[in-house]
Amino acid sequence: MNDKLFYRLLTVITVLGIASVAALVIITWLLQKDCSVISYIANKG
Amino acid sequence: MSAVQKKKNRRILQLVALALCFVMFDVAVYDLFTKRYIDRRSDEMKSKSVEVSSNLPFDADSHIYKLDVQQKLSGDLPVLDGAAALFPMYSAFVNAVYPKDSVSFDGKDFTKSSALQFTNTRGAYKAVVDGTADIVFCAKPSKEQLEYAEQKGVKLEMVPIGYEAFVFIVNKQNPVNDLTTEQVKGIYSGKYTKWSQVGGDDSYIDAVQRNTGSGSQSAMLSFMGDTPMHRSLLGALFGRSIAYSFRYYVSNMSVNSDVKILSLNGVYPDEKTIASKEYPISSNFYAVYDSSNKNGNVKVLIDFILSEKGQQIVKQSGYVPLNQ
Repeated sequence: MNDKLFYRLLTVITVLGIASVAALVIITWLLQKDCSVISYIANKG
Repeated sequence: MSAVQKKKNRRILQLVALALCFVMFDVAVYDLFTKRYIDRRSDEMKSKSVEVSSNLPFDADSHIYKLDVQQKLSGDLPVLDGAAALFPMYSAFVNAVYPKDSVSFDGKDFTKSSALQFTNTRGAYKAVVDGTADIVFCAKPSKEQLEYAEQKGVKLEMVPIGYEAFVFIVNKQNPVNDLTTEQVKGIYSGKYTKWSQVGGDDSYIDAVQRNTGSGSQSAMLSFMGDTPMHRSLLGALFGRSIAYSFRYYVSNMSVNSDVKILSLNGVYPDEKTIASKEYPISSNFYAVYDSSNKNGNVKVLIDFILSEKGQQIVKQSGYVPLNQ
């Protein structure tokens, strides 16, 4: 694996990883906004 | 193995490890946070929840209690607003004494000209102070809501119109079924951090609080008095939760089989124990209006609410009337 390919793959994985974390945080925030206390208790145990 | 091959393998491992780190982080975030907020209620449960569209007045399919009253209000109709938990009741008042064309709902919200509005407790208290609502139906106002009224020079008149219980809820899997009021205060002050200290298992306690200004939060602050409330990080991340709300909201409007209401001091909140005050945290809910409101129909409507027929609506809507 040459340097160019390695750094390209490193960049792709990092970008995808950060994007997935950001998407999850946004989804969580949106769900939290509309979540009733009842659903929260039911889900959390 | 050649040095080149070793370097290649190390780089592949680095890339795989990085990808795995992101995947594990995502799984942890999902497990600790995201999945708690997913609405898993069945369609049947959702249909029983607080849906304005299914509790509208003058609608044949509405879930509200419909009482036929001959004498309808006319002229300047008071604009009504209030808490989510009380919506079916004040919608039923409108259905009983308002003319049909007084309510206008566009499928999502009430239009500006509608005599019935719904902005929940926080919005409703602001509306009655700002003069955009004439009567709001809520639990006691928070300190901030009273201060807002004072700043605006508004004196709020609060007329008790029924009783409701303030209840504590946990997940059905939690073995605890009963707490004393002292234990509840201990949980919310941070004195008790594990369920084992109040008769449960060894898990941490997550003492969930509600939004500032909501009816439930104001009632809880009043229950706690001068004792500050505390929520531990360990409990929030890993613990079993406890929360609070009004009985009607839990048992009628947010039906969820995975949640149970706790008895307090050995008394379960039902209509009988609320009316007899045997259940320790029963409180009034109110019709609230600006004392300087000059709309004559405000008094007329409140007199109707306090009458036998009005109290019948309170009872049939699932609350405890004043005279029970």
